[in-house]
Amino acid sequence: MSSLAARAEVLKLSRALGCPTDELEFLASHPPAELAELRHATARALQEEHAPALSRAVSASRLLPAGLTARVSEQMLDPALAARMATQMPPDRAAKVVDHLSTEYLADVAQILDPAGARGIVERMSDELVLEVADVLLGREEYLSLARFVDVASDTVVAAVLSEVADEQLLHLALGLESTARLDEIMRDLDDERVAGTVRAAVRAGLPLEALTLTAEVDGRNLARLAAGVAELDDDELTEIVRTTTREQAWSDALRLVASMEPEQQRRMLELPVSREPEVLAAIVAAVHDEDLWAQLVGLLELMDRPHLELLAEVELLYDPEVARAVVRASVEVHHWAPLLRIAEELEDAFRERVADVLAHLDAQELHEVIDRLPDDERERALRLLPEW
Amino acid sequence: VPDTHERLRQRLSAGGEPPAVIEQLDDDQAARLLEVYERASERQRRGLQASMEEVLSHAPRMLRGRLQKALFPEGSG
Repeated sequence: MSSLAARAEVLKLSRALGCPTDELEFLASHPPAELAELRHATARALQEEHAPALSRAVSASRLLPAGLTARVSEQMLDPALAARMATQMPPDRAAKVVDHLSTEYLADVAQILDPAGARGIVERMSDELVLEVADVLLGREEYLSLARFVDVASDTVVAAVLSEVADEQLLHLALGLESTARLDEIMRDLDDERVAGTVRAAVRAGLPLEALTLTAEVDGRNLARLAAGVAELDDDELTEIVRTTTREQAWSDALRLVASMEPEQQRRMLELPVSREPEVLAAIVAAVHDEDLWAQLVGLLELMDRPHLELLAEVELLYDPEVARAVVRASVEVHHWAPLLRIAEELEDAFRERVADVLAHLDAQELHEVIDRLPDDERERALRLLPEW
Repeated sequence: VPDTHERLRQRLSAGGEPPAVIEQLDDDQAARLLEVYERASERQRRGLQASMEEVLSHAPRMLRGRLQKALFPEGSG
């Protein structure tokens, strides 16, 4: 899912350009990676356009003792300018000045500073000072600013911050990280309960979209642990997740999450009344079609009862010949025909006829080859359903 | 006169290729982004100038000459 990640990028860009987020809201429909590229280009351009003046200011600051430079900066320099000057300074000198600045002012600067450009300074700061600034940012609920420094802060500092924050704050920090690789690393160091607690806290705080965004950014074991956290939610909370997912058109990510659940947990999700609502089923099929996730859906079909399948069969998109081809292809890939055959057998005649019409558009040779490869019992069932073949 | 997209490309290509997202923007969006960027740049220019003048006026008397030379090598300010 990109919408929340894109909105976070718009917020970071508006900070860098010193304008209200509303003014750049039109960018939120673009991929987050492209917006991050725009943000970095903007920071570089601002730095380069004023490089001569910044360079003179930095040279002049060398004439003053570090303590006096810090006092002058804090009294006279706008934090955005201080941030640009800091990245122009030799890191040793900048770190000496930083030692004399108040944590409040440092937090102001940190909200604007480009962490990648400030790596040399942060590395020279004591862990105690970095933690003090992190505390100020946490107090201001400046999770995005704090998260940006996770890439450059020491492991000791990151561990200390993570142990201090509540589960919901951890979610905000995780969502603000600059790289998904770092997110995976950090989550690997957290115990199962903390990971599951983070996603639960998000949903309970009315942030199901944020919880879904987090699940979209991780893979493998971390995704399974998040899925376990979601599975522990009560029915009302799960219903809220399903509704949010449908409203935000986020089923491609949610299906990855559901696919990582244990079958019992998947069954519970499917048995929620909301999972049978026509608009939810239509949104799922649309996402499956757009992202070619038929393999994931085929696995879930097996767990659906007959009334559920009949409701699913009412989704118009399923009768698009393109979709039928995709379903056949996915079933070939996962060697999993039993659920599809069961559906075809259980559906009313009217639906079966529509399916037969759709299959008639498929390449006969290809379909024959698929049917020939089925185990004996499944081949017989398939041929019973498709006598004309 | 370069069009808005071209001006945006020129302003934002410091040290590399212009960001790809520029090509996805319509004329109105490109103009809005350029306007926000130009405002930020102007604010930074004015802020730098004002800060340097301020620093100079508050610097210890014995350092002012050297600071003046470092901050305003061409004699302005």
